[in-house]
Amino acid sequence: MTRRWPALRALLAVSGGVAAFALLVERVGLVPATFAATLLAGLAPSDAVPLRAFLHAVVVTVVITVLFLVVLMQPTRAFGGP
Amino acid sequence: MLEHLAIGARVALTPGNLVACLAGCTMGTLVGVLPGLGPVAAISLLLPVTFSLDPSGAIIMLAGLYCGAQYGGSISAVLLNLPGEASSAVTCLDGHAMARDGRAGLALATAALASCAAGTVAALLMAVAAGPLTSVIGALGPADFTVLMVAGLVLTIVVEGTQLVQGAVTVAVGLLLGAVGTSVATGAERFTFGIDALYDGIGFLPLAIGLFGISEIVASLAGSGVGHVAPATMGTSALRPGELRRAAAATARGTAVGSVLGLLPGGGPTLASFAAYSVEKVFARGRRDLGRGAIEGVAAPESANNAAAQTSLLPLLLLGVPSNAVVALLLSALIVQGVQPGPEIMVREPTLFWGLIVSLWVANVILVVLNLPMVGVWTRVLTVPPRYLHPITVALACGGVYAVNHSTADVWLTAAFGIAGYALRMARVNAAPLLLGFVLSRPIEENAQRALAFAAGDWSTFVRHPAGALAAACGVVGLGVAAARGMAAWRSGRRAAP
Repeated sequence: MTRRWPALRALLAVSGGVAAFALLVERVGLVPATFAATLLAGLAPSDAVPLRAFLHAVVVTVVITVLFLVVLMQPTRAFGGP
Repeated sequence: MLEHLAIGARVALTPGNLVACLAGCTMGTLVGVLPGLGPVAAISLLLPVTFSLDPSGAIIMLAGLYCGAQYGGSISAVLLNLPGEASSAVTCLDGHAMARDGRAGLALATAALASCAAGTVAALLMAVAAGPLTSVIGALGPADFTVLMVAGLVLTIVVEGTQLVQGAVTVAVGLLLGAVGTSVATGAERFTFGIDALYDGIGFLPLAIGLFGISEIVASLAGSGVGHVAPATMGTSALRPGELRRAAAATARGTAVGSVLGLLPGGGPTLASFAAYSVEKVFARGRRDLGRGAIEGVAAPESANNAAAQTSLLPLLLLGVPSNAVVALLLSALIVQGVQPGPEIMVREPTLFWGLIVSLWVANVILVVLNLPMVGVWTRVLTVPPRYLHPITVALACGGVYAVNHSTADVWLTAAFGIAGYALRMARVNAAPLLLGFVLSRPIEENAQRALAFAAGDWSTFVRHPAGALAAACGVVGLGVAAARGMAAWRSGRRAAP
């Protein structure tokens, strides 16, 4: 069980992050969806520090939002549903 | 031939396309160098980036990604003894031995120069062979294409070294996943289970990113993949005259082996690198040192896998038959860009076809220019802990998958295939044949239906023509080899049992 826990935690966090993105992107927008996905993936390692994962998610969300909405001009809302 | 290469140069050397190639090389190397993320995962994760470009820009960026990811894979093979994919496995033997001796810089320089030289020769060979091959392929019918594709799948299982039953099952699952959705021939729904999102079939990107990218991230974070590893000592990158001569001879042999094997369905970089290493065991001056840091052990497999990676694009472009998972990704990217591979591609899309060939050469040159001075930088990337890199990759993957069709179903499928990919990884099942089966599912079905319609339902049409019969024979021989290998393994297992 001890050895399996990190694998289960990583699997749940990463796939949960992807699922959270799917759940949120059309309901509340790209920014919250990306933040949720990044935060959950950041919590995947067994030694993850929540505050560090939170700050990292904020930075990554800003970069990803600029990339998709400004550089790639994707017709997706930053905030809000359809 | 020169005229064709000039057409390609006019496309590949425009400022915009050069930037696309440079960006592809940089991103490909950056992602390919990350521990555990081989070319398949690297390209599948970066594929969405190309979708916002025009077809030639996108294909050229893909050429850069392809070459960059291959080279990035050899950096981790040399420095960390971790092959990004099967074709880099042989490079580990001598490349990492050189790194342990403090000659990592020399090994990486040899890999880059050998790859560039092989890429140059392969690009010229492709330009020479494309015309004659097109006329041969033009004589083939749907029955021949069907048998060629099936034989390619069989030979891929044999070459990948996958167990016969396991390989057959994964290919079958891939074929079934590819059949999900509405049948082109009959309009009937298949395996949709009433889910609207499946009517158009399963997208390639959710499958590839989930199966290879997400599962790799989970494995890495869980500790069963590749973690944070300290790089080896670099040392000098300069080759002494004696080393240069030995590396040049090995590169020439590796290029010859790789260029030929890349053309075979089911061949490609993996077979080429192993075959080139076997050739070195016979012909190399330093053959006694092979496995202990011989320069031929880096130059030959690296040149062979690069030459094969390029020449394997000919069957892809002219036949639509991918020889490995990386090329299957490129096939999907071509189709997304509205480019349909086939014998007439040289006439229909000459700028794209020749532009791609010249771009591959340009990408090889860029990689040498980029990587020789920047090896230290790429090495430093390896010191960034995965906990910082992987969340970025997950966010990019989610955004990329969603951006293609603006479909949340695709993102859900990515999560599901990520879990499935991790389960397969834990069960030590090679998922590459599944991806090939998925990609070839529709083309096999469409060609088989067309062939049977032409032959009024007569199944002998598949082996009546020489090309189809030859491909079928190759497939049967491949099956025989795999079965014999399986039997031998089973017998030795029984002997070893108490």
